[in-house]
Amino acid sequence: MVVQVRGKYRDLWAFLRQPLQRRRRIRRASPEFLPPDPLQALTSTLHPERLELAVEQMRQETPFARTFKLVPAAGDSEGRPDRLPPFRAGQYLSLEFFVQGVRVSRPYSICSSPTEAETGNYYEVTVRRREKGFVAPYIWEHWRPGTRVWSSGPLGQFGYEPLRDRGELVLLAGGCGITPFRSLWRELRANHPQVSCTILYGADGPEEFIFRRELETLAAELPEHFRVYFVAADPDPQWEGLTGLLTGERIRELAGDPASDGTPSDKTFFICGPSGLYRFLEEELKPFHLPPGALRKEACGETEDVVLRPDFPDDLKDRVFTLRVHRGENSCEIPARASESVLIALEKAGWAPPAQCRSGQCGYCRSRILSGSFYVLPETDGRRQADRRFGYFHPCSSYPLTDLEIRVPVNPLPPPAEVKGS
Amino acid sequence: MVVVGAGLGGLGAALELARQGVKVLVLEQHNLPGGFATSFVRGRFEFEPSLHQMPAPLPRSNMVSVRDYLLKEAGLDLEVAEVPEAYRLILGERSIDIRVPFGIEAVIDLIEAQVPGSRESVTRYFSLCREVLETLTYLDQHREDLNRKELIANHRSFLNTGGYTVQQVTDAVGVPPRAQEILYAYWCFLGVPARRLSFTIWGAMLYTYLASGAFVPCRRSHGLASAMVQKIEALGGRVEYNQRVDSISTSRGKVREIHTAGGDRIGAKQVICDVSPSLVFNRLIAPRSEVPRRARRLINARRHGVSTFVVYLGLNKSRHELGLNDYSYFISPHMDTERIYDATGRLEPPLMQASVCLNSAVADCSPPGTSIVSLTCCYQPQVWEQVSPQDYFNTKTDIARGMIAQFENAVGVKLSGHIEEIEIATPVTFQRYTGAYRGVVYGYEPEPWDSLVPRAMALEKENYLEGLQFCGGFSSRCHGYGSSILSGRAAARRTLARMS
Repeated sequence: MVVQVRGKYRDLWAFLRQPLQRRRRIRRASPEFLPPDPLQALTSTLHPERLELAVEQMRQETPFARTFKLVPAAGDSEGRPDRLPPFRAGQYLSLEFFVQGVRVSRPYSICSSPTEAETGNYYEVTVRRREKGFVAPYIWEHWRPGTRVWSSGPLGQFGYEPLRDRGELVLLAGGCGITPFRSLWRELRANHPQVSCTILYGADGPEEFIFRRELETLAAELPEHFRVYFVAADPDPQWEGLTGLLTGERIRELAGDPASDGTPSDKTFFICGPSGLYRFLEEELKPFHLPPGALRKEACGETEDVVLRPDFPDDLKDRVFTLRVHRGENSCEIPARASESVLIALEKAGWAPPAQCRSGQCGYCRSRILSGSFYVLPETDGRRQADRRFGYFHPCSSYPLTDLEIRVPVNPLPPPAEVKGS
Repeated sequence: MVVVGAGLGGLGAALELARQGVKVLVLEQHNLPGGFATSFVRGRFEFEPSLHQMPAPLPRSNMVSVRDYLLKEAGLDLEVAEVPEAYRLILGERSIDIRVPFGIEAVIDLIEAQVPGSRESVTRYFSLCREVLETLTYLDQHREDLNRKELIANHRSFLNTGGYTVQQVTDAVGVPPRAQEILYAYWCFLGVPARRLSFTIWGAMLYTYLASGAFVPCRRSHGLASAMVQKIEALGGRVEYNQRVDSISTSRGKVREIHTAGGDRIGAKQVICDVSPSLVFNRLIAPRSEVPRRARRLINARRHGVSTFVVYLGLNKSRHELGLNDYSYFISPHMDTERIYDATGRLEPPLMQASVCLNSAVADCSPPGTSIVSLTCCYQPQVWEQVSPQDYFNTKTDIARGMIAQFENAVGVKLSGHIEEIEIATPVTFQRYTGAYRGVVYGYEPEPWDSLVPRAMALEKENYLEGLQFCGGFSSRCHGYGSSILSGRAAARRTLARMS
């Protein structure tokens, strides 16, 4: 059966003339180059490869916490500063540093609000000084007004999502885990008046509560929307507030009682704090019967003290293994402690792939594992299914249990210019 | 040999080169292989980025089957799952809510039941589509020794319809309008309305899917891309990530050298690009004076296809608990492709969404007691360019909300309230990760003059620079999941032929 559309000859002609038609269309088309990609402006504004920022101001929040206001370091030819990317409350910046000659990155939550970024063109990050830390003491020592700071664009998925979350939120913060919540409550206040929020903030002592005055003002001005409770674990005798830990009972008492008959809570819970807090709260919140998804946890950077986990092989925790690393045509051998992530070993040796979340989630440091085995916590194992099968891993959340041979991708970004000590 | 871009086209090219014993280096700007064929993880869920499926091998046919090529010839470590049915079609204004099965006879029966009296024309339509597919296979296999007389004698229906659009041919065959609307649902895989879409590519695609069924990789598209990388590397090739190519240095009409953003210079007489000609000729070829005027004219003569917008939902109930019984849900008030396409030019919730419950094909793609649903629609490239950065997040949310509501109303299944994870991808997202010009996902629009046959016939003439071949969704086979791989293989074979 032969199908005809407009008759034998016309059909054949319609087919045969196509090359002619094509040539004619090409001949008539403009010989100009394409204009600059019109979508690229939006894409690179929202997702810049790198931001060059400068510290504009710093503010002491507590004896142990300092907030830095970051503004664009560069501007256009007329001196107007670049526009900072808008972001969603709860997102972080992956900041890059040279510390003692080592190129490292660290995720810091943005603690200012999206509205402030829009109207004031700045981000704020709050850095808690930790004696044990590598980067935090460096920031405290070196960052002054005018210091250049290299950053990623805003990243991460932690935060309020109107299509997913309920109208009542419970924010559980431990220590400096309050920082993304500051962005969130400012955003909720400005743009989501239908949402109400209970904030439970746990820390060792009163001097550790960052943004305390702001939170108290918030609760006083909008008591319908914001209930704020400070819970000090180990306060001095003058503390008149709540004491103890953020136990399930405490949360039930302050944030509202989940029905005792086992009906699930109708609130969405958010947790941000040190990794120990997550394990503790997961147990404490079990009686709340939260449906999966109603408990949101911020990735918290590298897990501390992985070797103390019950399933970490006890005899290996002090071991130093050999890491054989390939990158492009080059190879090297470097030491790697069982107690430190593979990423840290790579950073110390100057062979690190790029990294952002440092929590196993974003996959930016994805590398190939050629031989050897490693430890990874289930909650920081963000590998894709095929990556497990074909031998790829995330160095930021993997700890060596044997000598390893790996292949890492190059870092596509040149190192940040070394910050001059002040 | 250097391949630029590790999308499925580039990986297809590298795989074929490696299989032929060529030492191949693939340079990829992203930190993952696959291009659009990738995956991402949110919480307990690993999501497939888009509407990705490949036709299964056609029974009783010597047609090139991408599945046989990957699994049998190349021997990939790849698990695949069958898609259970073609699509559930819900057209509110037409009071159509039907499940279109795979298998030509079954489809004809279904359409006859919906549109009494359509059997004869629809049967004729499918046998025409089959002829088109067979002729394409014939042309593919006789590229070198094409016998024009035989072509004219035995493949007349192919020739008679090859110069026309889908609408022209479908009307000529006498398919009733209501039956057309049932058949046209797959137009969203090509993104061009029936009044402009080439019948050849449409007929071949429609027939392949409906006759042979479809499959998806069990570990998302990242499983497919990773299996290809594994094979390429096992055969001595290498794939390097985070290696953006800044320029392809050219002199006297020949490709000479590749310059990467990291400062490497790689001598290359033959380069296969899994990058659109739009980007290669406008951004990569250096110096710019080496770009032939004809190459620029060709790009300007073409129309860039649509990009996509996807709402990914990880749900905290199984698909059975929710009542999601189907794999593909094509939801629209009607299937007037012209009007649906026009709506893709506006920044608002779409008329048509093509949505997938992945668990209906890959039961264990998410943990027990959960399911994955993704809702997809198209936007023309200019639409998202008008969005200001400040409005971006709210625009995303508003459109996603509209699409979720459209799905819930049409299917009668509640999704909100069960959302454990949600992610929303826009043309910006696709551009962010792939670098695609204007975020375009669907290549150049295959109107009749720029469809499979005209592109194939012009391949030699439009090979503007010596040593440069194209593959992927913007190349000779037009866009498509499986066809990207085959385009890579074809580009590899052309390159090998030139070298020998």
